[in-house]
Amino acid sequence: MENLPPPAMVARSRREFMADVILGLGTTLGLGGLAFRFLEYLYPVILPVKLVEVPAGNASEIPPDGVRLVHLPEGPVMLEKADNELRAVSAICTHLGCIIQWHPEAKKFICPCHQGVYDFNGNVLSGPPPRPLEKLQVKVRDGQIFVLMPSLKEEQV
Amino acid sequence: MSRASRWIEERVPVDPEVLRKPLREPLPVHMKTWIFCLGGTPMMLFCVLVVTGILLTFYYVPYPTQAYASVSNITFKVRMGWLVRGLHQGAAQLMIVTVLLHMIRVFFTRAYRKPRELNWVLGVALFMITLTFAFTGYSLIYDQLSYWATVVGTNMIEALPLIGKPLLYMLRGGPNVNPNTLSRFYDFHIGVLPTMMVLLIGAHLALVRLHSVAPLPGDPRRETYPFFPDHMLREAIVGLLILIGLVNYVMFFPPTIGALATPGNTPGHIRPEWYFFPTYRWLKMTSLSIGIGGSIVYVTGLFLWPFIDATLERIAPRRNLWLIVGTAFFLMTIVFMVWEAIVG
Amino acid sequence: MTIVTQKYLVGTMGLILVGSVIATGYLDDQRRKKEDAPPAAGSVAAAASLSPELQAGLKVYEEFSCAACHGPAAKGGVHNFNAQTAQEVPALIHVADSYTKPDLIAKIQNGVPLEPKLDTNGPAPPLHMPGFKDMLNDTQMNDLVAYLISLKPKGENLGF
Repeated sequence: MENLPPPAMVARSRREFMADVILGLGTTLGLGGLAFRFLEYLYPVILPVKLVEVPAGNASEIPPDGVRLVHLPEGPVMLEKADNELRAVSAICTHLGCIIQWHPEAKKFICPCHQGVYDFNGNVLSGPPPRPLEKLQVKVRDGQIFVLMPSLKEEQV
Repeated sequence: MSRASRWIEERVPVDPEVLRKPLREPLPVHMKTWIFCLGGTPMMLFCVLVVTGILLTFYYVPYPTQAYASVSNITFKVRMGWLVRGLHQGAAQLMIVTVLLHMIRVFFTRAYRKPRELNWVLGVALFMITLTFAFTGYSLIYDQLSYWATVVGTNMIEALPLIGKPLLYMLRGGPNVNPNTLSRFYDFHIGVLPTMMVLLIGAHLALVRLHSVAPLPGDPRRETYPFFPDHMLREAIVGLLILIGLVNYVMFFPPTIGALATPGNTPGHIRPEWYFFPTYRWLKMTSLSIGIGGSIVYVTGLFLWPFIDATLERIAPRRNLWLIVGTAFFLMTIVFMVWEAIVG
Repeated sequence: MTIVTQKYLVGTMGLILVGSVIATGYLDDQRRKKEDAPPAAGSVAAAASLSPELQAGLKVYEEFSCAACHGPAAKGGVHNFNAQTAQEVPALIHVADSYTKPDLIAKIQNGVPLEPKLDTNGPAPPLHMPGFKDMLNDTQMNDLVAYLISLKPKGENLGF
């Protein structure tokens, strides 16, 4: 093989080269811009989370230092009473979404799916869960418990 | 670069000449004017329609009231939804216009003559598919105009002798317009028609290449120029012009939506889209059977035109009967369209 | 036109296209915010910006409780177990596109006939649009219809 210069580089004026550059740049940007808008279109609109107060029974129904699982329409919740303070954590395991169970003898939450273990406060003790249980705000009015949870009525746009 | 191309050649044993030859296709110089880009334009618009159409299916729901809500959603809530929907509608209208212009160009340059008659037939079929696309697409919005246009449009099919009623029931998925109708029209619009369109476009292009471009009557020039890059650049200019035009048009005139379809109430001024005006005016003028019969004759004539032209040529050679007959029908169509637009 | 010129032209047009596409982004924010505006604020603002003739129509709309079902400023959004329209009473801002004036008057006068409950588990009261034939006189009817027809959002052409 002789040492010839690459054929494409021979005898092209700068004007011709610029023409190719502008052509490539223009079409890429033009069609690319449109494609970007189309991708924006596909990305779902994330609406801000609206919280609603969900009635969750009577405060007296929960034993002191005890836990009660309630199945609210917005999701399952573990209601706890510790030092007469009423708290709520989501009963959904942070690993893959199963509903956890309270084991009073061990004073731990255990997830039946992959044996994730949480303590009374929802922190992970062992197993695969990556995060502690989600804490939920609780309000008590006239002895009635209300848990603040994301509203179900929000339509996904 | 040659190492890369050798790597591919070993694994995809296609002679690169096979791919490069169509690009070098010599085109007669009479094609260097813009009016001869009208063939590629509908295809480019079809690509826009396929892309925006696929995007629309991400949010559209083909069930009666939810259809309306989803279209409303796309138009007013989804990011860039108005742009996607507007581009889809704009490209659809423009595609009908450019197909018509292309047909007119082919007609007046007599490019349909032997041996290219079958390509004309394919072209008319493509035109009919385009109109069916427009009709089915429009019905998916499910607002008042959309719903009633579907009712009226499908009712006409019932008037066909023998096959009318069964065909109507099949189209509607039942005796009346019902949820089945919407999903059937949707399936036509996104499944059946695109498949037919792609196959026929392929056949149409193949025939053009196999026969090579028809010579322009009365043009003695024999020089040619290559398809790539010359003609392709010309088509790219047209394509980009259309995209710029469409995007800006949609920005200034965004799509909107009418009131939800109420099956119990027909609006006072129901009318099909402009591309159906000639048929609409004709049907209003005569009884239903003559109206339908006349339309069938017209469409059949359109399909078989190259053979009619050949017959006319045999009857009265060089008397240019084709021009008289063709122009007469063309003018009649335009007159009906404008008449309906003004009076209707 | 030489090949080189054509290439420059295509490239430049591509840049014009991307410019237009960038502009669409600003319009998008504008357009979607308009529809996000909470309907409750609508009626006060709507009343203030109306001409006196249309204000009379708005008064009829509110006096005869049309808003109870069709929402403030006819924007809809009121849930209704019986409504065939996805269980929400329809908004009226596009009636100008689908009804002529006589049609609209007839509709308001006759209402919508009572239909079997769409949701059989829904509550019993007759949730259908009553006829207002005996409740509105001609002036009130004309004012109301003029107001409803005027609700069509400006700057939008009749869609497809």
